[in-house]
Amino acid sequence: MDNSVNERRLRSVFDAIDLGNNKKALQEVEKVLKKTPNLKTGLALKALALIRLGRETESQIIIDELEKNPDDDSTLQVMTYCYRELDQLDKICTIYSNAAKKQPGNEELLTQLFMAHVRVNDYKSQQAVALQLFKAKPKNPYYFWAIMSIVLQALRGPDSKDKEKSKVLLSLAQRMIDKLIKEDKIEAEQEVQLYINILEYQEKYEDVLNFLQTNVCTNFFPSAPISIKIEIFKKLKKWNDLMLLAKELLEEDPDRWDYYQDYLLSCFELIKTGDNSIINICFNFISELIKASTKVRGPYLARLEMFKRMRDNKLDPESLMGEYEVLLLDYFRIFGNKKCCVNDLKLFLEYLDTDRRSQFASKLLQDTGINSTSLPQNKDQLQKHICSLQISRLCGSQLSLSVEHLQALYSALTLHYEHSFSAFDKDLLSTDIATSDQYAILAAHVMYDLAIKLNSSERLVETLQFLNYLLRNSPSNFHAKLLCLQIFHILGCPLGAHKIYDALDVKHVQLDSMGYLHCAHLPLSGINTLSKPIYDQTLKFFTASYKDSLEYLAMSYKFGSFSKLQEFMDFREKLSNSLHYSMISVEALLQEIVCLNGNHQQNYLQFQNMRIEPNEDRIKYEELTDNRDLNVMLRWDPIYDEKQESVYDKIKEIEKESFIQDTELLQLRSSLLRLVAASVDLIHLPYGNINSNTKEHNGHNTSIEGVDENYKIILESWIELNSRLKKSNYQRTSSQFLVNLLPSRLHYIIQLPYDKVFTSLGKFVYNLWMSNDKAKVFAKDIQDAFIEIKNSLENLKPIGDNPQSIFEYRDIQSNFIGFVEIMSLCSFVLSNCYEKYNQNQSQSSSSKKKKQTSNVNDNTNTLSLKEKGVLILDVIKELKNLLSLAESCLVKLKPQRIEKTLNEYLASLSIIPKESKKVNQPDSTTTVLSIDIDIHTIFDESYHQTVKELSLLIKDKLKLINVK
Amino acid sequence: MTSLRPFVCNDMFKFNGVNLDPLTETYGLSFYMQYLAHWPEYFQVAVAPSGEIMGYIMGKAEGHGENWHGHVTALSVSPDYRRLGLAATLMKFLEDVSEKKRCFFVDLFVRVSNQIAINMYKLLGYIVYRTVLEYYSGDENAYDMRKALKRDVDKKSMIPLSNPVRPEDID
Ligand SMILES: CC(C)(COP(=O)(O)OP(=O)(O)OC[C@H]1O[C@@H](n2cnc3c(N)ncnc32)[C@H](O)[C@@H]1OP(=O)(O)O)[C@@H](O)C(=O)NCCC(=O)NCCS
Repeated sequence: MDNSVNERRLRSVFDAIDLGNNKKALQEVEKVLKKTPNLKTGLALKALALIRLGRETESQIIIDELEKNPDDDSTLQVMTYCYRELDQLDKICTIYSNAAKKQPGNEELLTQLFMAHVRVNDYKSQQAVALQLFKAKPKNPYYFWAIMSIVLQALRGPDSKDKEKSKVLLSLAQRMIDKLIKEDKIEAEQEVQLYINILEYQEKYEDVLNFLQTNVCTNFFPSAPISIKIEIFKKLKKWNDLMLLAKELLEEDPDRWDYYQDYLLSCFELIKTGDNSIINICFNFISELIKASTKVRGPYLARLEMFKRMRDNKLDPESLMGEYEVLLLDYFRIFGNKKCCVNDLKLFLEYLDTDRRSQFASKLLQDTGINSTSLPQNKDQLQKHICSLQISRLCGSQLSLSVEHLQALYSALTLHYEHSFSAFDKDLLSTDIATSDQYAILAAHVMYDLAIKLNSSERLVETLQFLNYLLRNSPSNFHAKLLCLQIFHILGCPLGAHKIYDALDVKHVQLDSMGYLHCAHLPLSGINTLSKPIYDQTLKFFTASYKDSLEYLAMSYKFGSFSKLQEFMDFREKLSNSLHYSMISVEALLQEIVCLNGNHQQNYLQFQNMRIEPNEDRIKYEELTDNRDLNVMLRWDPIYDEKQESVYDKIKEIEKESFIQDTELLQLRSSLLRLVAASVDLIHLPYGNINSNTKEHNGHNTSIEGVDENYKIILESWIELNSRLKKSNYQRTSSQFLVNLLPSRLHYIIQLPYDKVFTSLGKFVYNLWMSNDKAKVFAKDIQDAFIEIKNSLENLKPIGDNPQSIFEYRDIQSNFIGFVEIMSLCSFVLSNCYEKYNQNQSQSSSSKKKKQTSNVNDNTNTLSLKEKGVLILDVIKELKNLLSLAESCLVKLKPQRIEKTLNEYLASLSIIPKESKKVNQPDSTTTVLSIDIDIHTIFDESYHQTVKELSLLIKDKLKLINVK
Repeated sequence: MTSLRPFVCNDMFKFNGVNLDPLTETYGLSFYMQYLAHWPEYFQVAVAPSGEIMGYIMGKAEGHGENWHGHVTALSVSPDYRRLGLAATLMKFLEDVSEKKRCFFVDLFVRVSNQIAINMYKLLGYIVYRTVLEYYSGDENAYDMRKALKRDVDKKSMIPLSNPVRPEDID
């Protein structure tokens, strides 16, 4: 057959695949294959289309056949895609390796083979192929691919653990480049860079210094960063050289914090050697920079840093520089008008004596010239005032305030906001953040303190009102949005949270780093239509990134950016080990089961399509990573609390603890998912209790034996995990400050009767399957557990209009949603039991009868099919009652009425809101979504949405288990 | 008060304080990765003494002959660290790298509505070389702004074009 004809025929298949129209691709390729059934590219394309249509088994058959001898480029390429999607990367190596053997020296094939080895981290094979390539086409890049592959063997491969081997490999890599240098064959910057790296890996620092002077280096790597030299000086402890270099660099750019660090480091190391004259040299140098420079922060901060280090080294900084407090105050006087001043000073407040801190804060406030009767007159004064307030919070001045004082502070801040916004920020661009906003942000923190003191959710609603007012004026202020998001979740208002989240436009890698702020709370929301798209988006990001990230490795080789290779590998691992990723994968599957809304058969089919593999928990718990951006929300919480304990240490502790608890939560949820899936799988297997005679004769039963064991392991591990968690006594992390991480969901889950329900359900299913009459006991246990839930639901007090503590609504709502989840999962499992044992009764009773009777003879503890049916019906009946009860209890979730509209609330603060003014949209298409969530009604709307979805869900379950 | 260092992958987990700004786009991973793989020396981040990311610049070198130039793909400074000369520092860094690579000029695209940035670039010596029509999503036009480097002795790269071009016609 003429090649070009085939090519033309396949064109439309390729096009359809490119467009993602896999159905069409399949149809087209079938047509082609009718004419030329052995066309390999066609077969490969068919396999690819099948994979993308979810028909992997069919496609695997084709691929396995093709694997034997694909040889043309396009077939190989299409197969590469197939293997990538099937996650069988090693097969790509196989096919290219076979192809390359047939055409030795084919550059394209060898390149593909090299990249195939890159994808599976097979550094040794990479090296071999790269050398083959170099032999075929003596180009520098191939030579360096080989060298890099050797370096990776030394640093990351199996040999990296063996110091000697690793040493030998590195020195080999070095010699390979030495050779090129000698022959004057170096061609590119990246090559030089790699050489320097190899020297560094071998700790040949002197050699690096020498090499930096050579012509090769200066010619090919003129942009070699000075940081290389600096690091080497540090490694070699060449403090004098470092000091001189840093000094030189600082004279050129006196605002470089990194150079100051290096400078001070070298000075203090020299001082340690006994050279005390350095103190004065250092101080004079910094003082000169201060004198010379106009208003750069660098030298001033360096002076503070020097003070700190002197004190750490038990030298007497006061006699040299005077009082620390004065230095800080000086800094504030000069830079207080900069937004970052507070962040700068924050680093140094710790060194201020405890008893001086609050006094210092008052001094700053005084210095701004603003008091209870005066207002900022210009933007500089405004920013200074704000800074002093933030510092006063940092110094702990707000810790001990009474309720009245906090209230007064809040009012003052809101009024300051109102005044400053009208005075200074009226002409704000919609893309800018107003300076005056900082008052409002601080006010939100203060109000949270107050809410905690009074344990009243009402105060948080007020905060939301005010932040919402701010966002009307200043729609770009993401700090305010983040606080709203946090408060909505604290108050259990998923709809409000969702609206704010939308406005933040979180995407791509942010789905991981910021997922903890919203997505991770969604399993508690009860609004599945909100959470599902976000789960989907999140999972799509991770799976796509995982696949793509292989290509970045290939790219690094292509561009010779060897310095980035290891970083890319680490990054790839960090993404794929993200705790958030695993958590959402599990939650999405649980949600899918909970939301199954067809009849039994449809549900079971959909469940099978989910392809849950209960027997193995593929999550590598020890390798999970914490990718949260925990500093995205600003805070000025006191450095020390009332007991003079470091709040930062506590915050760090909370961060660590929350990660640990969420990891436990993940285990629990994954275990639950696997137990439910295993139960359903078990139900659909042939009966388990077959007497030993049949066992011996029937080979199939051995596999059932295995199933039996596996199921027991899953059930046991669920039971163990639960009892371990009950004993482990995890505490809810502190919610003392507004932007503390919210307590882990773990606490809701462990105090709900998941353990009891699913342990007894798991055992029930097992004994049904074994036809063991112990099933009776477990049927009773399930019913008991249901009664527990029933009591909880009945005892649930309607929210009503009583004052409400901060987390109360969230707690109640979350528990409720947990109950519904439990019932939904039970409905699914029990509907399968019913179909299997009750529906089959009529058909199978005759065929089973023999076995049943023979069993009865052997063993009096067996259960007849009929008895099974009765037990299942009993449990289902109880579940039905429970579901109906839950539905009737939904009204109890009706939230408190929000008394005031925004305007009424603002009026209570003596703010007369401007007419909903149009923010200054620049002539731009960057749309800054204006946010206007009506706090007055949002809680009610959120409730209605929750009720709507939950009651629909409950109705579906009732329908599903509606049996007589 | 800045530390400059090369941008690394892990910075992507922490750059939200910069990227939540409405004029700063968060791109798909592959976009950043491509720059990191291809032009790692052009991707720098400015870090505060506290370790917080204050801003970053991402760029590349491309073009042939007298069109060999540095390009600023993204420049952004966190709202909390603006007006400290940081953008100027980052731009200077990119210009220095481009000088060392013997580029003829540096160029960049900016929304015509982004007055703050346009003024800043002008202060830094850039001129509007030409208008690119409907360059941005939402059909907003872009200015292609340029500044000649030492190698372009006669500043040939900075002679503005009088007619706007379409995005598909930019080389
Ligand atoms: C544009 C942007 C990068 C400026 O960053 P920056 O670090 O604040 O800028 P610099 O401090 O280096 O400013 C340099 C000069 O530009 C001018 N300038 C910068 N921001 C200004 C503003 N908001 N108003 C007026 N002039 C401004 C000033 O003349 C300033 O010098 P000065 O402070 O000594 O007067 C920053 O506002 C930003 O990140 N914006 C969002 C993203 C963006 O628009 N990027 C550009 C896209 S191409």
